Amino acid sequence: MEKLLKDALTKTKQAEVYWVEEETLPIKFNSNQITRINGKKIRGVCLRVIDKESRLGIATATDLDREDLINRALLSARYGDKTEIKFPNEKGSEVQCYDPKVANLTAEEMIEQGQSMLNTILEIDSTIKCDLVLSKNIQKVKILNSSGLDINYERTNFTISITSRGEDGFGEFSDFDIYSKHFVFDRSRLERFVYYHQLGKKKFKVKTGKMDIIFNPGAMWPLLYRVFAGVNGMAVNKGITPLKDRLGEEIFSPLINIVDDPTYPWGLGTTPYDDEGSVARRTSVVENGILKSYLFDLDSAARYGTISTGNGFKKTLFDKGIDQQPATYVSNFILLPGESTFDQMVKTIKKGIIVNQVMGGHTGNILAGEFGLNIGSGFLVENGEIKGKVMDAMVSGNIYDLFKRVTMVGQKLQATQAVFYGFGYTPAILVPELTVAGSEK
Amino acid sequence: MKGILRAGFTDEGYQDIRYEKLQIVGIEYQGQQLKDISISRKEGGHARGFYRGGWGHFSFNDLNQTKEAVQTAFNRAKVAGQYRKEIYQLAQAPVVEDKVRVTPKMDPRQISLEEKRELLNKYNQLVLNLKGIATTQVSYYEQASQKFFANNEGTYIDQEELICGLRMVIFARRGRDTQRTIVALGGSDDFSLLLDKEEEVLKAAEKALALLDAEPVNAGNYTVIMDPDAAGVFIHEAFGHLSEADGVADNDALRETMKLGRVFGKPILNVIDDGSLPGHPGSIVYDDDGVKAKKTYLIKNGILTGRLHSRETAGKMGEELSGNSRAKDFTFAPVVRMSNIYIDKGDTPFEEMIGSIKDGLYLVGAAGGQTSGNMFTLAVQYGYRIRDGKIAEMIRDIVVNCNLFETLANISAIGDDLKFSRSGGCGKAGQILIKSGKGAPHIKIDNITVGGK
Repeated sequence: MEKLLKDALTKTKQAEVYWVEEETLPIKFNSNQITRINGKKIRGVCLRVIDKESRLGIATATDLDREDLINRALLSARYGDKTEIKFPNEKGSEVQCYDPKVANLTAEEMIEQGQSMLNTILEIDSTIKCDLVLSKNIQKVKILNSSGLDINYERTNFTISITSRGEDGFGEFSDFDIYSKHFVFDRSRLERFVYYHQLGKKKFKVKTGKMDIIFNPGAMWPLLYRVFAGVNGMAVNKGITPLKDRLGEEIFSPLINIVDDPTYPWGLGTTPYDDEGSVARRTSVVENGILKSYLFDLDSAARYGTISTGNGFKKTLFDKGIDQQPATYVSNFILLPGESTFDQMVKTIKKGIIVNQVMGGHTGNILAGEFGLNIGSGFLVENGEIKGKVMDAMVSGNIYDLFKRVTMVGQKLQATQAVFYGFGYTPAILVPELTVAGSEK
Repeated sequence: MKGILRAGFTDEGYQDIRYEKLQIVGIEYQGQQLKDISISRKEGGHARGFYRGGWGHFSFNDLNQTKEAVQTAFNRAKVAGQYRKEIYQLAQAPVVEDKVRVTPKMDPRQISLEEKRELLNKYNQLVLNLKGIATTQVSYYEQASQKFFANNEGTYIDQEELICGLRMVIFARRGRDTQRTIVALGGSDDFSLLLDKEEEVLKAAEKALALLDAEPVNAGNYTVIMDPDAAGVFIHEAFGHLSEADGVADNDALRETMKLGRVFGKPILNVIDDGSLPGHPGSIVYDDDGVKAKKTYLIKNGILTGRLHSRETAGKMGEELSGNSRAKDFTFAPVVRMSNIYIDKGDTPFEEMIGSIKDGLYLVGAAGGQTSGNMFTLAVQYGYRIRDGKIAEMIRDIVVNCNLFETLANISAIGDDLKFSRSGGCGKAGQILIKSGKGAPHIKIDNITVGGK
């Protein structure tokens, strides 16, 4: 790698080498039985160059054929756009993102953990059929650049995801969490899981109209993703976000505090550096409802005339990997906890829905803040009591209205997953009078 | 290569290995900014073992690691197999030795990076010069792969795959309001499908601008007509995923729900998956089990007649192989995926369909969808009110959200104008597969739920 950087610099002005080795081990159970032990151990290298005419080029590979990489990066630069960026060289601080216990877990140990979860669930209700995934991931990253940066660090992730099957065989209830350290679902969490699964036997349809909605963490990502889309430096530069030129304005309810925090202890996206070697920093995005900051990578920051917030990641909603260009994305996108307990929220509802999981979070006019979410898993609440499962309903609106009207924010953080990957942490929130399209005539 | 891949095999259980060399070209403009222009090269393999109903997998990079990779995968299969209560066999597949090469009409690999960039730039400038257009996202993708597959039954396949395409998202803005439309071109091994599409691109830009004056749709139940693009994604989401047997095989309740012979729609409804159909995003010769792709009737005359299988699921269910076991690349395990799914053409002309509706919606262009259980959701790019048999004012912010069984049964007319989408793409099991095609004629659906204000 040092040699790659050196060779590249004989032909170009600035260069950066990003090297990653990744190991994963997912264990999958279907219908209470183990079906497969999956996994990979792969690596990748990415060379970015800025040539004498200040044009940025990029090349990736899975092996270290230095000449081929340099030639492709130079070719990419020859056609590339001019850039103002300078590769960074700043030392980051220690963060908690590597758990040796996760790194050393064996397939057998993970199977035992899954089996023990299933045993507990079956003790409570012997009729339940579950699909379960336990997964571990280890990343070793090394970044070198011509500004003198020379860093390497390791990160781990541990994920548990469980879904029960209803009488018709379709997914009934699911629970999910992800941290960089090892954890278990304790008995009370599994009891809650079974409780909601059993509620699914009582089914309700609702009429089209306004209802009070509790969004559980699992259903929060589409709302938070739209906030991120609004503060994404690229969208700000292009002028396609409603949040352009609104720093310092009150955009949401004072109850709303949102940070992007790569230093969050044991978070799913906790990291000392982003994928461009910028030091990862905590950024306060919304404070007491006031828009405080946008998020930037090196390129979007240079175009805006500021410095990177350390949000240049090789990750999008649908893809991550060595051949992703670094672009603005979240580390741990966190809605900070509020004062309310879940029970207090439920008690205030005359007629509403607890929305646990949604579909369609990645569709529709995201930049405008619009959402139309199919309630994949939701529960009807009447006069403060949870009645049963809501069928065939959809909740829609716009986050720029919704986050103004939030009346309660929960106390407890839980991971929320956007499409394929963890996105951040959030409590549940309560929003009165949202539009629900139901199928009850 | 054959010798290298076979080196690690033993006679125990089932073992296979897939080794891939990938070259990916990506070019992307965001507005005037060229965000990416690069060629990536990746190679590596994925080994699998199967023993007593347990599977083991292992992805790796180096060709000289194949032997260890096969052993690692098989050892994992043995560990998983120890814990299995239920044992099953894989479906028998023919042993083949074959070499597959693509023969594109215009080979994208022969076109310079500069020419590709110029083509993108031409379409991009065409749109950016229009008043009211805020920005664009124009991307070109090209993926060429050489895949070698071998198993311990004697099959060996050396297969080339190639796909290229162009996707353009056009953003129009007025004040704080941003609207967008999407254009997709190509989606096959033929670069010439990307040329001379100015008219199509301009039309999409005009629609994005028109959306600024469109009214949001009111939530409620409507009779709708979907255009072929929206209907293609509709059948992919509302039915296709459910016909993927890996969601059904281990699930007794769902097996009952999805019993062959069940009536799914009116007799006019025919749904087909066909990977052997050339020239579409999902066209393949062999799947990643080394099984030949073919035409599978999923619904015939309204009745469920087939489903999509891997050797694993066909073995579990005792059904026929269909050649639908597919992985995005060597870093992933194959899962059951659609190849090219489509609603077969019917006999109702479009004008007659519109004319039959007193009050309804005409939905145009897919903008994403999702399936979960018996519900699906589908966003469309834009739409129109239909009043007294005529297309009226434009509407926007349309998301359809329905129970798939009810919706399939409500398809009441099928057009005579079958058309395939030029964009592929489907997400499942953490893998976005660009090689997944869809098509449909115009279809009429009675009474579906549309979300809105």
